[in-house]
Amino acid sequence: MTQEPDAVRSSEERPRAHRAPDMDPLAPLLPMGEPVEQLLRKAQFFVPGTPSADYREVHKKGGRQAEEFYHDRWRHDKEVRSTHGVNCTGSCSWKVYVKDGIITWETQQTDYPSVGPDSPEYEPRGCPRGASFSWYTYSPSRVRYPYVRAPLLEMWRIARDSAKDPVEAWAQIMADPQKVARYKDARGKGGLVRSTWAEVTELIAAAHVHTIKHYGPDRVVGFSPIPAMSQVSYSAGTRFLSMIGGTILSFYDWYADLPIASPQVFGDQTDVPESGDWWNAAYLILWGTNLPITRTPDAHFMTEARYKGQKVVVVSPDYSDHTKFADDWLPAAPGTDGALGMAMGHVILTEFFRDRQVPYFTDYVKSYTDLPFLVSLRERDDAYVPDRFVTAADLGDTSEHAQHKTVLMDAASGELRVPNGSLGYHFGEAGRGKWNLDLEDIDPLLTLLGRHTDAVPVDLARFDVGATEGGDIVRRGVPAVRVGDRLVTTVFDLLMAQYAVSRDGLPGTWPTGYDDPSAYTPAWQEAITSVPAKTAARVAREFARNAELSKGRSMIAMGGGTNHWFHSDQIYRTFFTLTMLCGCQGVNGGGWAHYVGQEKVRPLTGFQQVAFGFDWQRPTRHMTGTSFFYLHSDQWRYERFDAGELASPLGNGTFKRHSFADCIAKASRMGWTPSFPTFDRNPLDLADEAAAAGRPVGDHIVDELKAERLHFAGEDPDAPENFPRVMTVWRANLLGSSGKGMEYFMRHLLGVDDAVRAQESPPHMRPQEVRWRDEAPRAKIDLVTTIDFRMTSTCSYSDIVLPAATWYEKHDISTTDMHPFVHSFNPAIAPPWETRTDFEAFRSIGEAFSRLAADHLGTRTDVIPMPLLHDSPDEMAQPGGLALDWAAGECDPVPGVTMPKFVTVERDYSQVAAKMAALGPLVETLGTPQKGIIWKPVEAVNLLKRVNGTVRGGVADGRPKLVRDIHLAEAILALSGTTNGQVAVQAWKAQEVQTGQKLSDLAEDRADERISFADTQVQPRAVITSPEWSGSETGGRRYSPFVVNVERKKPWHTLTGRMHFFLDHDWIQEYGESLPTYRPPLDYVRHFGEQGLREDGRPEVTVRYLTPHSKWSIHSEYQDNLHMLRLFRGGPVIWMSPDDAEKIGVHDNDWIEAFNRNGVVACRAVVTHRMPKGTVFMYHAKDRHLMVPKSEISGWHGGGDNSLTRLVIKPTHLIGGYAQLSAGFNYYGPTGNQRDEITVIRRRSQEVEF
Amino acid sequence: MKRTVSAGTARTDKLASVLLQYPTASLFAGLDVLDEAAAATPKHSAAAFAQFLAWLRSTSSDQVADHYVQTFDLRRRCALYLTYFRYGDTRNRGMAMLAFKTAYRAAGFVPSSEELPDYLPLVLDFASMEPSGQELLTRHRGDLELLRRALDQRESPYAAVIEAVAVQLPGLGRREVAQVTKAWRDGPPKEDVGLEPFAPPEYMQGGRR
Repeated sequence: MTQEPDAVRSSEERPRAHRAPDMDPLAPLLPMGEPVEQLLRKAQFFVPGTPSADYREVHKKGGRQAEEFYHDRWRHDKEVRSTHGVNCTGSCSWKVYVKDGIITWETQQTDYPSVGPDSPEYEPRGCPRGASFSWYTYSPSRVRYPYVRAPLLEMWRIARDSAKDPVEAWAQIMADPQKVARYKDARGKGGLVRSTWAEVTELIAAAHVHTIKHYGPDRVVGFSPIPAMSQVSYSAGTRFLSMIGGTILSFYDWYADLPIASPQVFGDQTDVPESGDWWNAAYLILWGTNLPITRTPDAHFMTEARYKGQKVVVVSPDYSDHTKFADDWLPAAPGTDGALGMAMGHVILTEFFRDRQVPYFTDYVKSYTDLPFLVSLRERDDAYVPDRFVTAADLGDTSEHAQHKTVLMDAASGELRVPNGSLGYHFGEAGRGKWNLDLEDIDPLLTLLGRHTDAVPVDLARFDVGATEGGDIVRRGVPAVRVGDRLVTTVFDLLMAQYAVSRDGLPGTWPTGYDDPSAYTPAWQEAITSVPAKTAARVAREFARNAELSKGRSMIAMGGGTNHWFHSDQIYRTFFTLTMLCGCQGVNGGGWAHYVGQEKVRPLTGFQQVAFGFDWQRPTRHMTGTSFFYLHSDQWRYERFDAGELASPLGNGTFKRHSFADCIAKASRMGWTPSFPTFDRNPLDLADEAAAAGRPVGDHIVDELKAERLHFAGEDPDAPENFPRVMTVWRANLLGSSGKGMEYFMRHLLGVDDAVRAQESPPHMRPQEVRWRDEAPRAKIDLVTTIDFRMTSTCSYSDIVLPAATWYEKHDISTTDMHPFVHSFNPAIAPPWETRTDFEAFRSIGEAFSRLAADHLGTRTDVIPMPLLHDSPDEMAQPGGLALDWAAGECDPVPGVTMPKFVTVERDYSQVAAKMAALGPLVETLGTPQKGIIWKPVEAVNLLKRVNGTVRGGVADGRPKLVRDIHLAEAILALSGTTNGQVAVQAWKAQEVQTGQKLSDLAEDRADERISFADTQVQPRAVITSPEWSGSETGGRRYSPFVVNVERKKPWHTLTGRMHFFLDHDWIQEYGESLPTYRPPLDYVRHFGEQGLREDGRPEVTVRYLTPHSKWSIHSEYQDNLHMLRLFRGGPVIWMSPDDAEKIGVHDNDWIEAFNRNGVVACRAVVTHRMPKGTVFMYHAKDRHLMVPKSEISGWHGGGDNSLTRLVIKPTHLIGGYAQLSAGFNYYGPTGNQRDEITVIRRRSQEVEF
Repeated sequence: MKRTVSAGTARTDKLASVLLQYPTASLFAGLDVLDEAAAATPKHSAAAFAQFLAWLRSTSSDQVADHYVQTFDLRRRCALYLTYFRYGDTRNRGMAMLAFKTAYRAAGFVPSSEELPDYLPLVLDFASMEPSGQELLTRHRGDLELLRRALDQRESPYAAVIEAVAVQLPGLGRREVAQVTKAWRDGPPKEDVGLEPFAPPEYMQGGRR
């Protein structure tokens, strides 16, 4: 049969079910019917089967074998809710399936509370890493028994037999340098043998007791990160350390996850929107955070919001997984984000503040930022530089805290006014009820232009040019008026000058337009970032215009890509300029959204009480991790440039010839930043000496320091009496994952083989104030204990490895920034083998410790030198942010004012375990302080007595029990406002007294509600609005930070009480960072010279070395999960561009070596167009025992991602004693940044040896 | 009539069960008793045990402990968990372990909860008493062979203990030999649940891309 082509087409388009293609077109009225051959052959109306005995049913067999797979899979006898800690920020709830006591698998929970109409739901949450966790439970690679390094155990048993008790036994070993060397040499070289819990806990306890007795409690150190995702497990260890006076290391700043611009600008550690709030954003810039990879369970909100019309802009140097979702991709070169930020700020200030005023923006910045506040100008050469905020004290006010009350000008009257809400109103009696943002009758004047008496030139620092890191000077101008004997201007006018937005009548040099290639125009940034000028301007304009139309719903999600740089604080400040100018902070769907190392412990108050033992004694020794590791892994001995290198040319030369170690020493003695171990003497002895002399301990210490008989330990970190001696690591892979400068850790802290290639600093580069010992010590630490369920790199270098329960084997609670729910960990099975929960492990250690301490320590007085703390009156100690050093004779040493406070704590060391196991009385007697308010949760404690039961007899008689992990969880939940409505109301009432504003209604609708541990087992529970945080969940609202500040006029915890564009501390000014600016990545090529080996015929390439997170590892698992490893190449790899690969003759999957002064990495290359030229990636945290071959260069196993990194301290991160720039645990401290690093790469022999 | 395990096999499995556990001081104190027990096992097993016990006698207890941890605790291929070799760290391993647990219960025993049901010394303990234990061992004959090879490759004296057990079991069939060869080459299997949607079927089958 032949047909026309058209007929063929039309027959195909006809529905086939109704007619056969070759049938007569006239037959369509009849149904098709079954072919008659078939009808005649079989039963038409019956299906055969087997009848049941009562004939009620007929059964059919067979044909469903395919379902067997599912039947097998769903064959379980219970489901248990749990989740994954430790630093998995997802905090997803999971179902774990158990059959006959064996965990078979896990699936995502789908019972999150609804977020309400008009928004997608949270569930299901979870990612492939979590989904493949259960293999850890039974894997042969799990740590199942307590292990001790064989030489140590052998010596211990011998000493234990001969000595009269365990502490003597430990002392005996420590007294013999040969013995000590023998077991320390064995670190990292195998030789682990099994021991028992009873034996190891005694050993550990003996080492603790000996160290406390001999060197002091501050030489006992513990490290565990990110408590939010297993708060009980974290608290178990820190509670023990707090009871004995040990040093607890911070992690957020150490991980470089702390966005230090947040304390600088907001006076708040980190407060960001939950992921559900991305849905509310109309314009979303993803700037350095790869949401689909690192925030997998929540990325759906971003993809869904696009269907609602949200525009997504991605700023990322590589073509990454989130770039795929972008409407606009701005491929800024790594580390240059600040330049793009400055140019965008330039555009917004030009178009939305100068050329046209937007009422929403103007009202917002007047009310909620420091822009209208007055700043004095200081003469310098033939121009001026910005100096200090004008305060009430400058106007002659002598009342309480006048030095911390900032001043602005009223637009209507032109009078100088001191509005409510600044720091001066925060703590004093006189300010009570006035710490708020109510402007009353004041209309703040934003710019003096038009009212000015003078138009003066102002010199500002710029860092994109110049021979050193210190950059150069640019001259601009501001309008000014005279107040008393000085010229003043507004922060807004300074900001306009800083961002180079020209206005008529002002002196100085200004760009002529966006295409002028001078700072900070879109054309200027193009040369730095490679983002086209027009695109940068357009995105800035869109961001602001969207915020104008939507009242602030423009959001920037930011992350490690922009936060792990030396100058990340400046990068972030350029971002905050955009969100603050456009009124986006404190608005749902707007503002900053920082997603790195989330650690929002939502039930914060209860957590702090139990974790740091504040219920029994206050304070505890909180130490900044970065400074600790910088000093004690001796990275300070390898510097090639000093703090002066980075200072602005407008500075006073404060840092000239000052090393970074000198800066730490200075900041420590001035009371700015914590320093533990503190002195070259045991703090217990210091207290005894003072008592013997009958004098206050503070006086005694000051005298000893003045007489130079007593010194700060940080001024001689290589003296044996100043070493940290005993270190316990739990829930962490310190050496394999977070140890920036890993090879230095190996050399100095642990004393094992290392691949450090750097030379020590030449004499002229050495510290002035920190003692240089010719021979650097090795193996400073006497005992390293790691508690883990995986044999990590840290375990393999520890003296003792204790087997931990996994996340499916314990009770705990989990919260996150990403969602507003509290949910629980629950044991699907009891901890198998010899494993124990962290809670049990520390209980055992605590009990062994108390037993031994009863004889050797008894009751002692400890003196804790405390830095001046944020959110306390301490932050008013050093007005004006003047850096006065008593040691240099610039002021007197006054504890708590110009130096640390000396707080004594009496410790009955025999009662440590008893106190750990009960909630102490200080909770109600002193109250629970939180973010500057305090309340006494008497009702909550009474409730806990009933929930947990009370202790009978002993030191904790009648107190609520904390003898089980659930008890600890209940205490955390009961004492926090977020999880106990009654406490939330109580806390809000305390805040109402301070602010004079109505606030308690935020929690009153849930006042009777309490989230108990049992509740969290049933379902993830949404938290209650509480002053522990700055956002609001009231009425089922999505959490966005600073909503309470904006809507309820509650001040930010800063000097002005507003968000800060301007910072006036001495050290900040010395670094030219009073205002947001662009500082390029550190120029390591210049500082350290060429690091290549330059061997003949071995081409090399020097590239930027970045260590982002991968999709196959972290956070619920480190990169040692076989399932995940199999999804990519298994072993370690470095990703590089085809251009760079070609230069060194490398093809995809070739073996390469990357090296620099810090160490060596041997791995394979991934050659991909995804990478831009000049930049390589090595994904973070692949343990160094996983397919890491021996290096040609070092001869050792070729390192982990941190083998190529090293710490550099930014001195401005050490500042304290001044408003928001004051110390706080994980709040302010030097970041352990690592992205400015470069590495040399070359091809290596393709024959590798493992 | 209830089936029983032959005396020679029972002695072999029991002795192997003791020797494959973490060494204790009593183990060294009882070396003479162990020698006697080894001598009482069937000829081939006795020779293998003797070889191992000679090493045990001539080696310090610390070295034995160190060797044990290095071998069995830190090396996947030398794991003493029988289902690991066939199922690796996959979901199926949980179900495979249940088969062991069921066998213990069917024979009227409550297994220790301190160890996993497929822990070799535990399985051997059971096999020395129950024919169904012998069946379990026979079913995992190939896995024992993988363990023996891994130990042999590391020149571990413990290989002889596995050898002593293996000679009492039926030889490997052709299919089992093939399985062992493949498993030795490839290592334990990988998880494949959920991987299907990653690519269209023609790609997964190696067809046209």
